[in-house]
Amino acid sequence: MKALLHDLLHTRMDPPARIWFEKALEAANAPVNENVLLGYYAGASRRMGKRALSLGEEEQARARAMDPELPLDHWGVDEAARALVLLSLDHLAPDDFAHRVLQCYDLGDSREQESWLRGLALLPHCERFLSTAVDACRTNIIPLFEAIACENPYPSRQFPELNFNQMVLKCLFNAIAVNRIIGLEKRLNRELSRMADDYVSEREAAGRTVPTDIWMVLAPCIESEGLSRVHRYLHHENSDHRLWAARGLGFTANGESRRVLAGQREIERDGRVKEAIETSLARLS
Amino acid sequence: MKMFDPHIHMTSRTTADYQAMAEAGIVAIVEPAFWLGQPRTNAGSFEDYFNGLLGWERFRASQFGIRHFCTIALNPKEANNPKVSEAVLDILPRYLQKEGVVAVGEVGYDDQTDAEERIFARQMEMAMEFDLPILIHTPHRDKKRGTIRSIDLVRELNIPEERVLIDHNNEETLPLVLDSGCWAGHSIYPNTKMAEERMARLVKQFGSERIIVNSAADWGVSDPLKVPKTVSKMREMGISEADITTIVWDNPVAFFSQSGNMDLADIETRPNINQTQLYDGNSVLRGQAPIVENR
Repeated sequence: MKALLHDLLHTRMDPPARIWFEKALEAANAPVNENVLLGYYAGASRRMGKRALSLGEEEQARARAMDPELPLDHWGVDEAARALVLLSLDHLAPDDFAHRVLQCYDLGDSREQESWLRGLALLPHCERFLSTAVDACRTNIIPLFEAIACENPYPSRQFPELNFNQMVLKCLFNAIAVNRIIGLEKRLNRELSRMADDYVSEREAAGRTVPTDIWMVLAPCIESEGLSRVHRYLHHENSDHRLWAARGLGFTANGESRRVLAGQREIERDGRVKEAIETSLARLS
Repeated sequence: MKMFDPHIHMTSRTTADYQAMAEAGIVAIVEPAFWLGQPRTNAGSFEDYFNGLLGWERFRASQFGIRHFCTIALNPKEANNPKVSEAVLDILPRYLQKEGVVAVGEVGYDDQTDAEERIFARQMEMAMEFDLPILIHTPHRDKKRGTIRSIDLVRELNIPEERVLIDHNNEETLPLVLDSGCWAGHSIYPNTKMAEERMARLVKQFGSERIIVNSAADWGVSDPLKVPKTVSKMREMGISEADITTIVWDNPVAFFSQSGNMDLADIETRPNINQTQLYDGNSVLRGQAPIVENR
């Protein structure tokens, strides 16, 4: 991964940035001076810029081969640089490594913390940093929350169920599309469906709208009463509700859902919804 | 009409807010200790914050004719941070005994983790030890479950329910809270939580007993005039003056005076404003002529 990041960065730096970055990597070598390292970690945005990495086709293929769940395309150049700085600390003893890495988060500003969270899954023994990642979900700074919750494989790989579910709910509360959560499908669970169902009840009682993609997490493991609610929204006038209800129902194990989906297929006019219904029916058969 | 806003975070509001609140009839407020948006990294940060609530903020309110009370606690969100949680619990006893502290709060659940529950319970035990009522925050996410769990924990610890105010209720949680003996707070917010008209409908359905409304205004999109605005809406929807007074005055006074830290005779009148006063050499004025009342 270090080689990949190095190559990606190499073609995206002008000469002054290259000179600066070589020094930053040197600062990660022993002996590590705390304030010098933190200074380089902070300086990456100013020195390297924040534009997206925007991978070419060959680069995409190489990145996918390393980790198919890691969307490097979404990273900024500065964020890739910071990840490489952290990875370059791997010569340290495990406790010292964890200490230095955590300092970069604890003392970082929002962008530094975002970079840290995006690169987290790449770090050796990244499970050690679970409590920091969970705590990051408590932020009210939406870009910071998105850095851990969205386009990031870490939560689905490491979060316990309670923390994962809270993160998904927080996405729904903040109108962040749940399909941005990497690995959501493999972490669907009954408690999450129950929480989403309670949330819909709360919104309906308050006379407020319901997030259209909530059905993706509500439908899969819900008890029968909640399921009939999904069936109702499958016929909703808003096609986004129909779309996500159709997709969510594809993850249920319920004969009734098949019948309801087949019924909607007969009258559905929206191409996207039709396609989702077909996909879900195929999954259920 | 004199009004009480029993939940508002004035440290993140301006003097223009204080002026508008005073003009609208608000004469007393409670400022619960909460989280500041930016997570704190050490317990010393909390000491300065608590001192600010008890010192500078109370002074600032007084300069606009508003009586300021506060509640002290480690909030549920930061209960999850072991770097501060134990150390903050250690310093709480010294703050809970100070003048102007009318409850332990905001305590409760946020993500509903084990750490939150442990610290929630310990702070409720402290409230019993120091003879203070308890202000419970209910979570945004999974609110109904969080409310049920809060009531269960109150009962498990044998806390008299009339000494507990459960806040941020909605249509789904209010009946649960009223079924217990706890008081029910409602935060009237521009977009989330509860709106004026929904609040008025709930009052029509459930009456005024043990019902409290507040603005919960803070550093987010919120409105420090939500209590007076809710009063107008309730009036418009035909709720009696007696019920309105119960909700925006009698109830919060009855609840928080259980602390023994709220003088019932004092609070009936608005304090005189004297803007020539200084706090630690600091004035709220920036060159304006000071208002000095002598009523």
